[in-house]
Amino acid sequence: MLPVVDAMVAPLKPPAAEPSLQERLRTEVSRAIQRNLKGLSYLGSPAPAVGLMPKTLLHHRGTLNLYHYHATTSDVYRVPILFVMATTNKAYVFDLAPGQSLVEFLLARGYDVYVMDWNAPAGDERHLTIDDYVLDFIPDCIRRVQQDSGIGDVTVVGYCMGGVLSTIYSALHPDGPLKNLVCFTTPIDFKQMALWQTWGDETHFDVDHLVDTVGIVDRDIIVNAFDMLRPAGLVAGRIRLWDNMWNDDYVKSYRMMDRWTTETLPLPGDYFRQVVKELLRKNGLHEGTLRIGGRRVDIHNIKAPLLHVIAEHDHIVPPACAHPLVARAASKDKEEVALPGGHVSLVAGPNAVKRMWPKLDQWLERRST
Amino acid sequence: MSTSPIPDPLQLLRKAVARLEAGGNALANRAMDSGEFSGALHQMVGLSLGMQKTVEKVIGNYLKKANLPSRVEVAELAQTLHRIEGKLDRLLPAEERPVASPRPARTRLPPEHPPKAAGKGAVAAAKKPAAKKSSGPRTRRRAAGG
Repeated sequence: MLPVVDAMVAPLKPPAAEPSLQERLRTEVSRAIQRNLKGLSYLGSPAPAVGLMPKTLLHHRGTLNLYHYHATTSDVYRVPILFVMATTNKAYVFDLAPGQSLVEFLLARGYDVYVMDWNAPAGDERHLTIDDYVLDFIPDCIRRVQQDSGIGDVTVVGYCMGGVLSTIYSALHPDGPLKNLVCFTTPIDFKQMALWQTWGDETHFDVDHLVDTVGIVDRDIIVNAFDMLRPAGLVAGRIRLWDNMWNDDYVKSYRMMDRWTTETLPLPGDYFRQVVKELLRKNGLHEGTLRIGGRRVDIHNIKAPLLHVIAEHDHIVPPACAHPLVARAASKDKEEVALPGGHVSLVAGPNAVKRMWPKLDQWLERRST
Repeated sequence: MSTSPIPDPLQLLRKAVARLEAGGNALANRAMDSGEFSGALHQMVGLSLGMQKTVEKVIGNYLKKANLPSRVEVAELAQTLHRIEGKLDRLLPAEERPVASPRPARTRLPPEHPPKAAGKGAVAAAKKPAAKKSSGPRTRRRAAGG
């Protein structure tokens, strides 16, 4: 979920030693020239290619795509991994570019990787609800992963709202076939999201009117809501882009994340309505009042080994909002890891490469045999 | 820390941008965390939706009279065609489909010494783990029911 372009790009490395005034002048003149030259080509060049790791589309149904990534090692761990992407964004954030791809990293470490990705919902999908995602899409994909891999156990990895859906699925299916549950920055206690609480208050926000009018909640509404959490970030991001225009790596990272943000997905109206009413206003997942398919969702039912990776500086899902997952789950083997970084830089970008990916690998490798 | 007597103007700009960003965000968040702001925001959204609905209705009536499809109808038609194409692809004979690459054996076992950090390149890191230690994640383990 979300547009945090500046969180993704690599910060400038400080010089090893203090350069002389002459060297500084030379560097700055060179950078100024490159800013102008590269700035012009930036305006005219196409969007960067993303999601390049070879994969097979195993299943497509409306808003749902299930991909299987091609193995790059001669042997893999027994248990396949199924990623559940957040419903507002494309899953190529896990596969941005060679060297910046979590999928590439996991394949090289010997995992068998499947990804649930989303397309923009069509008009006739406006009535999809959380129930459809949790009781239809996820179980359907797990069955297909089992069938394709020939293995009964599956590790599910959910990111943000994908984590919420995976958590609900796990709570409703405590007896398997889930082998492990991994969540990235997954909100549980929605009362801790202060601004969302104010904006979503029923005194001012008539969600029924919005959903009944539009059917599908437009991406602009979603993008604007996230941008409003950090309104100064957009301007600061542009200034940093200009400052780093000479730096090809920075510009490439910026453009990939800018493309990802631009391709934010609209949401099915009834799903959006349910999120606002049941999760945001009633705090149903935290309070234990959420009912999916007529059954109460109790996080305490989760028994599978659980890893929750949260970001210390997450402005969308603050740590206080994410803590209750590990605190409440009944899993004997459970761990919460708080890493420096933001909502997006936790999973992609230089910080993720250094911090989250190795941690994920270390946790998974002993639980994937 | 810089020891040069002449300050770097771009470095000063970077620091100023970071300060302004943090301050601007905090100020805006305080201002937006109020019922008044929320009310005004949703009033604007409601107004915009009302206008959108009216415009769509007027254009819809015009297109109907001109016997032309609306954008939504064309999009729905495209979606239907897309689904038919998908179904046709799945009905193709097996020999016309690309041959699946041979599946690797599911025999991999965890290494004795897991990597501490992924290093610069993902693949390079996977094949040859970097020795540099990551900046210690805060980890909490809890017993069952914790």
